[in-house]
Amino acid sequence: MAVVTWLVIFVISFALGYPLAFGMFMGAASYVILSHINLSTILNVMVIQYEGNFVLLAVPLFIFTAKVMNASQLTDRLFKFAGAFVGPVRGGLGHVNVIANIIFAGMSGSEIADVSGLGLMEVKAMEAAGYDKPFACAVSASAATLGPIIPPSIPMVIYAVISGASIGYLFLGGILPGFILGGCLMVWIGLISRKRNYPVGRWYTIREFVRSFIDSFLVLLAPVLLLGGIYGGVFTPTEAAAVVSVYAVVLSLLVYRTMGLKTLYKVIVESVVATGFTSFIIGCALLFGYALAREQIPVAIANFFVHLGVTQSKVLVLLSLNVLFLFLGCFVDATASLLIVIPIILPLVEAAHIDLVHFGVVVVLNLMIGLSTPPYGEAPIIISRLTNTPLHDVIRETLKFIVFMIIALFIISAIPDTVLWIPRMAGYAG
Amino acid sequence: MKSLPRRIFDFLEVYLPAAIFSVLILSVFVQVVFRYIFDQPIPQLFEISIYSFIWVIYLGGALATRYDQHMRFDLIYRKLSRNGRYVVDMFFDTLLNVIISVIIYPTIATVVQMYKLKSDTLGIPWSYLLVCFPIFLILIFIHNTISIVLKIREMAGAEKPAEETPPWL
Repeated sequence: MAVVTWLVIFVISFALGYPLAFGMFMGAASYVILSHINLSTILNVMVIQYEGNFVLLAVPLFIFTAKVMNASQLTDRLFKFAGAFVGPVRGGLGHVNVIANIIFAGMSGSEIADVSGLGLMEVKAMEAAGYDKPFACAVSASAATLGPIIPPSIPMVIYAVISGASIGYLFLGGILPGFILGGCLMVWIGLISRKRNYPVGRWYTIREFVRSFIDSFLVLLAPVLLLGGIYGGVFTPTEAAAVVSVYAVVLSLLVYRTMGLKTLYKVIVESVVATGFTSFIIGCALLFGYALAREQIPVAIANFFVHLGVTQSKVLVLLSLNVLFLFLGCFVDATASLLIVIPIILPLVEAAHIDLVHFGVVVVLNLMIGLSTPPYGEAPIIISRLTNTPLHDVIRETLKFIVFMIIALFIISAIPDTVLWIPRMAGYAG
Repeated sequence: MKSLPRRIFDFLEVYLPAAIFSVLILSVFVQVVFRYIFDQPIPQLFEISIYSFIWVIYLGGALATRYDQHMRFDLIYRKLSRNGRYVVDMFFDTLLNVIISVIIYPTIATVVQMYKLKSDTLGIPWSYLLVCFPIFLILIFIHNTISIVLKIREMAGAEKPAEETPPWL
């Protein structure tokens, strides 16, 4: 009775569009009530359990850093600097767009922050240079996928907490796949630019290069500080996030003076709201996970697949899970998919002896692709609103990029070394 | 001139969590500075940062509810008529309020009991950490109730009230 009530409330509230976090909370809380479990369990699971998950504190800090960078237009400097790396290539600004996203990914950790921050400026620049607006939007939406793949990454922090995988190795594991994904996007940009005769880029003069480097130097130090601090053993990921967020405030407020105190206050409150909905849902997922674990549902699912013999083939399991996550990504938010599905399938992944770091990077990439796929593709929706471009035109162009993203996903899924090579060099034993 | 309830909501959901969020960032940053530059770790800062985080989650969660910012799977929801959406929201808001009514008393009782238990480094009662959760539940209960009443009025033909401007804009 308790299990049925829990699942019915969750499934119906989810399907009918009631806020997901509250659907999870209502379902799991009704399970606790109907199972006559001590009601203080809810408080215990949803509040006290956070104390043991210090790494989650990185989530609001990464959110805040990205918002400061966007509000103070520090991202403009990155875009100008990225232009120095693309010479006289057809579709040059499209490539610049991808490179700027790779650099910004080194400090933001969120696809939405990337597309909202860099997107408008990138599309304006590309349109002014003669690119079709929907194509420019699609490049920005697709390149923003790189945000959570290249460290730091908010979804990887959440995955690490649920799975117990090392956050440090997960971050390292995302570096090479980020470049593979960026490369795949650039291949398509190159092909389509030749076909549509988009403008050719140009080399910067030495003067322009030096100028753009000096202009962006302090911003470029942010990822160095963040990743250098973590892998130099100076900071934990959470501490690194705090250092970079203070660094971003100092740059914006005191050095470049592109942000005033009023804007800072606005950014803080917006970060509170964002923390409210991203981290509160984690608390609800902890309660949901408690009910799942108490009923041993994940173990039962894993046993079912073990009996079927499915777990003997890593490739089959990974392929099936990739299809599942791609499908979910079309309809459900990435954080929600992580929080609901990972606890259920984790025993299955372990039974198939799939490395948790490899799996984590594959899942995050998969879910980020989902942020570009219709009908729930947040990235095309945001960029279409920001630039006043019809959504169906943006989606039509984005779909072609998705093919190349799936090629990158296939490479990364099929060759675990693309993820594990760098972590192993850093001492990972997996 | 803001009404008293609005001022209370603004204090609990906007100004207080914004202040706590600033403390959160600074406490982790100062922790790093003292540990690595002055070689003098301050263990109390760890507790301050994690307590601040938990408070921000729940007060921010209430603020996100007030401005309908929580994520929804809205494929079906968007296709419903206005009244259809209102019925869905009112049904689940009511169910959520019933669940909150059931758990609120034992939750408060546990928070009160925890007053005797002191935190490791700050030595303050655990209740100070945990009390954010019942505050959150009460705020959600009030927001839901207001939302239900407004929706019923609107369905009965009253005009939709003007959208409230967020106090930080």
